[in-house]
Amino acid sequence: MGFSLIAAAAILGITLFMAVEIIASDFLPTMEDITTSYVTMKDRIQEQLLTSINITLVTRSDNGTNYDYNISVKNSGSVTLVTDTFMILINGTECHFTCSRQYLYPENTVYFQVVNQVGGGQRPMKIITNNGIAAYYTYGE
Amino acid sequence: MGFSLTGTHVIFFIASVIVAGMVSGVFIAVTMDVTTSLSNRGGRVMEQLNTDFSIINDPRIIPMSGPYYIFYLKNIGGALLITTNQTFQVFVNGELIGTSQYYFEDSSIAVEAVTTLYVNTTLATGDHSLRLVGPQAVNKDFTFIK
Repeated sequence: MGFSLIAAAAILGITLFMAVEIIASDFLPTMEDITTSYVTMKDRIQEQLLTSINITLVTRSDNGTNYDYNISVKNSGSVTLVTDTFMILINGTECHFTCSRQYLYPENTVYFQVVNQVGGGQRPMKIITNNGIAAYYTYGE
Repeated sequence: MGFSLTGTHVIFFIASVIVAGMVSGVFIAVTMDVTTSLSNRGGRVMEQLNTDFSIINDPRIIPMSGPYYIFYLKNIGGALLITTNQTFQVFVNGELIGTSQYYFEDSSIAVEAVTTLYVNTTLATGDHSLRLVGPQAVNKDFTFIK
């Protein structure tokens, strides 16, 4: 009777050990991955909160029947921004642009040039940073 | 009498080993099921945390291409965003738009990249709202004027 009890207890003990091993080998890496994703998300949100830009000046010049825009953008936040992944909307439409610098450091200003735009008059503008933070401006207001 | 006592012990021993084995089997099976479910759920939570997007249009003016309104969708999350009619649902002014009425320019967008969403709908002059529901039910609202 006593030996039967010991044998059963040993089997259940081994089972418990195996269960803990299964949980540790499968669940812990998942928890680690979730923690990594959470930290990455926190960093993204933190960077968005620290990002701010202002359109300080827009000048327009004639280019035949079309227009060229020179847009000055100041980084009023505290994060360095990559201008390659900026987006410029003029009159709601995406425009191709060239930029004077690849990086926009805090308190610095860069100049975006958008050429051959059709139509004069008032032009609503929006510039969006790589992390989705935007600044608005209306030319000719 | 002595033999029968030994026989009883043997029977008890075998029975206890069988019962313990059955309990162990069930316990291990349940543990594995729970662990698999937790891992799957963990994967979904991870995808949810990595998914984020933004509608970056100028709400003052939405461009059009033929009958389609053009919306720009930027991936501001931490992973590749799959942009298809199956992964995204579109609501305009609270009404679900049929999958035949919208499409994306690209089937996926990398981190910080932008794609175009074409929506074929009729809008009266005034304020409107667009709701995009993406993977893992991550959603964004966008209000604009026509």
